[in-house]
Amino acid sequence: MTLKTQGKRYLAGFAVVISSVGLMFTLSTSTLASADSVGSSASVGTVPTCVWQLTGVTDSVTLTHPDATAGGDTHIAYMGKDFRLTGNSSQQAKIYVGAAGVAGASTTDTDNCSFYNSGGLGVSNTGADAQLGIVGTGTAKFTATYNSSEDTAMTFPLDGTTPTGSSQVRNLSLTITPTRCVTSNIGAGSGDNWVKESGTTGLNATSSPISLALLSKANTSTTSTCSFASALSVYIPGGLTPAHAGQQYTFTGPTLTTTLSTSVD
Amino acid sequence: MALAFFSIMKIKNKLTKAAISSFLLCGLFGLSALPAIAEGTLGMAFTNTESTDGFVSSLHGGQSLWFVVAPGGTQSRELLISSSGTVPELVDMSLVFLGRNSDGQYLDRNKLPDSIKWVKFSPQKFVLKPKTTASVLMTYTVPADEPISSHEAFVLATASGASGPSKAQYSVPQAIAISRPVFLGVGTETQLAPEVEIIDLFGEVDGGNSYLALKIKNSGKVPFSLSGTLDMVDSKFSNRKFSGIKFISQPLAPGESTNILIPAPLGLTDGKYDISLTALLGSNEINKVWLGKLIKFTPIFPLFQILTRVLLALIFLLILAFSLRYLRKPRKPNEKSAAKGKSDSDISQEEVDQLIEALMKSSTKKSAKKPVKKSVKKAATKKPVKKAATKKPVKKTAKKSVKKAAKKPVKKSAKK
Repeated sequence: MTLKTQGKRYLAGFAVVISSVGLMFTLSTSTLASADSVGSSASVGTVPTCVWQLTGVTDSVTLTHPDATAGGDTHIAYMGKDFRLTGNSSQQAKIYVGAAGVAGASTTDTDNCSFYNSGGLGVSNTGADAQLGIVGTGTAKFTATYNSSEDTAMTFPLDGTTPTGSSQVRNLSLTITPTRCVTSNIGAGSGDNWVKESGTTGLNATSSPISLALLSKANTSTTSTCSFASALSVYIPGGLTPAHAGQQYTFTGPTLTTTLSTSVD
Repeated sequence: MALAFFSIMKIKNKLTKAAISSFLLCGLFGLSALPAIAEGTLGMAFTNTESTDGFVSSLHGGQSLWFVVAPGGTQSRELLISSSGTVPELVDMSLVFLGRNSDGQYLDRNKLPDSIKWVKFSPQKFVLKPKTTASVLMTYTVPADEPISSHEAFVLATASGASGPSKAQYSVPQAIAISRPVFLGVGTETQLAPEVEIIDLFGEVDGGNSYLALKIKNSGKVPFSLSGTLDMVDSKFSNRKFSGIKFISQPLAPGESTNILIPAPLGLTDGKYDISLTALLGSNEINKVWLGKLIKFTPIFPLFQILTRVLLALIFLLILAFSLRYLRKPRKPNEKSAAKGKSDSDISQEEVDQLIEALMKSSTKKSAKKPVKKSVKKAATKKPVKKAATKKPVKKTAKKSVKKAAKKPVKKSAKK
């Protein structure tokens, strides 16, 4: 018998053993199981409770009159025609999970906090639904004041209509741009299960709150975060006659409230 | 002066020159070039301390904003409002309407909750400095003649800039708010005793992981979060024990049911188990026993798994059949080696030579006694090589080598 033939015979023998074991395993009805008793005890530390937080909303958005190239006109003051005002939030609003008081979601540690008692142990559906909305609270109008007194002739409501002397709808236009929304904020961030609003919405007295971002319980992690930029624009409608022509007026819009709602917790 | 400054500092870049010029001008003319209005940012977190009420704590570890107040009674909770903003915030605490629709719960600022007349926040309005935490006491006082009832609402913490309206000519003020749901049960602990229906326990596979799914229903009048332990013993092999398997449910509203997914402990496989459940709900201990309960972790695609098993079984069966067939073949090393090629034939040549030499030795010993002709004939006829060559003439080279091997020693022995 040659060496090669002998090697083949060994191989065949080995194949018989392997295939027999494999066959037995695949045809068996149960998988391998450990008969050991399961139970252990350990001493562990605890981490802070996870809290949904909201930050980065500026206390006021300053509007300016853009020039013609930016969609405005050549007039620097109100001339009785539609007068455009625009503005951006200098900061980005952000909702995130973390221990109360921290500035943002952790970028390094998934164990920075825990949603104690909020779901099945080891199950990812911990946490709370996070819903962010912007709504004009109070009366939906732009109040015009001169010398701290309201000039009702120049004050205009945000009612979604187009008044006489104007070609613009009386809305406060809000443009939302989500910038960074991640399920987990570790490192560069992973996953984006946020349901986000983007684009431009006309806010007025009859419009419903806008749902900016929503993250379900199942997708909430201990480092979930979502941030977004916003821009505003409004027209002082044409056809208004100021009581104090030639004077400097102040226009203040309705308060935009960004609300974070959590589900049953 | 500016030109002299640039020449001294050797600054040539036009942009740098412009920036430095404006900075110097600002310094000279009272910083008039800087923006007049600086925007601050608002930031907030809303938590609460754990309930000190034993009954509420037993319903959900004391973390949720749940109140159980007997008619004529009072109960308080401490709320914590933390600032992550950069400016002082004016915080306003309020109770707003919580509605329910198919999507879940929603907040409606235009409606008032029915429990608003019994609630008090202390303080209700306050200024929160940046990076600080304020404590607010929320108190429900229920009239003595109030019947047993349950109420839901949102506690809303709203923060706006405390410095007043913006001084900009055109501005839109902003605020932030965080809402948290609150539950109020009016009644005594006995009247509002939680009731749970433990429906079933079964195996479930989700995302490739095995879970024990405990199905429960809140059949009482107060929400709760059920927590407890499971102890499992294999019905056939009593040494297979899985004890102290902890579980906890999400908060469960009255009338709602849920499956609590409990990660299956390591080694827990399909089979029948004797299972005992122990949980504490309110002041009552809940016990449930299943004997010989079949726990099966059904995969998502059982058909696919069966097909995979069948395919693997067939593959192994084929390998087994071929291997056995090969092993059962009769040993014909010379034929095979002759058929395989040059290297194999070289080895067999050596073997043949060794055989012939051995034969020759024996023949020389015998030749002393027997005539030469006879021994030559024997050697020639006994050659197994010749037999193999005649039976399997696969290659010419093999044929030649075999013939040579057969002829050479014959001649030698004949000469000798």
